[in-house]
Amino acid sequence: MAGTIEPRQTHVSEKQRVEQPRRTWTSKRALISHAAVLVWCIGCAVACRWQISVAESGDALGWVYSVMWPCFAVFGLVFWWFLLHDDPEALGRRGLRRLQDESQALVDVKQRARSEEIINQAEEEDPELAAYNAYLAELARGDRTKSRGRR
Amino acid sequence: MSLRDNAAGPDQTLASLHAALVRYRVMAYVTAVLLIILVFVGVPLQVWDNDLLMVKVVGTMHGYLYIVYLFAAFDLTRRLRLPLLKMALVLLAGTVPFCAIVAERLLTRLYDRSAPHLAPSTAGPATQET
Repeated sequence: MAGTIEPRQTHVSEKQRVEQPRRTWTSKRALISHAAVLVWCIGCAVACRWQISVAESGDALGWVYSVMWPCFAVFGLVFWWFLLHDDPEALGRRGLRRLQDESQALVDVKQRARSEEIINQAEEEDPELAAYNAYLAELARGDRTKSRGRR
Repeated sequence: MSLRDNAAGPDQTLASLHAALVRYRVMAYVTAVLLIILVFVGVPLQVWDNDLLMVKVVGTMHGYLYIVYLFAAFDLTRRLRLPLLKMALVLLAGTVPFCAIVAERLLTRLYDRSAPHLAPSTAGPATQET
């Protein structure tokens, strides 16, 4: 039996989800990160230019640093991209708890499938056991109807 | 056959999380040690002995390895679902002497606390009815 996991429940309403493409780029948080990444990249460009001038004035070490600063700019861009596209709900303690719930659900499904498989196999090999299990199930059903009747 | 053999989800999550932790810890120690050498050996040599070699060699090594540290720390803090401010602090810790070691201790402790919940035990009463 293939265990299917329910699609992840997000805390976003249908209306918000429709508006989301616009908000990804224009929410307050996004605008601040646009400004921050712009300042960061300009800073890296200035530092790179400065190191190139250092290198040209004779210090060869400047070449090494003039390659390093664009790398920092690239990291800034990666960070900015994830900042825009990460679901804030998935971060922090709440996000960790959701991750835990998801993995627990996956384990539960797999465990249930595995125990069913084991029982089915055992019943196939041993008809007596199958009959006994059916008898137990019958008893359990009887118990349930009896207790319901009593109530 | 153990259940773990074919449990795809949580075990993989945990394995990749552990790999991310190891990558981060290695980079944290490398950047921390290089920065301590740079600040407490290289800079005094430069100031009092006018010997620039140490600063140049260790400085460039720290500069480039810090970029690797940034990516490793970014990866781990995202997997651990750290809030943004803490994530930024972990990233900046690589530029302050001794701070990367502190950050490494804190993140390892956080991992130890969250990992058992991320991969719930698969050992259970799987055969109770047979």
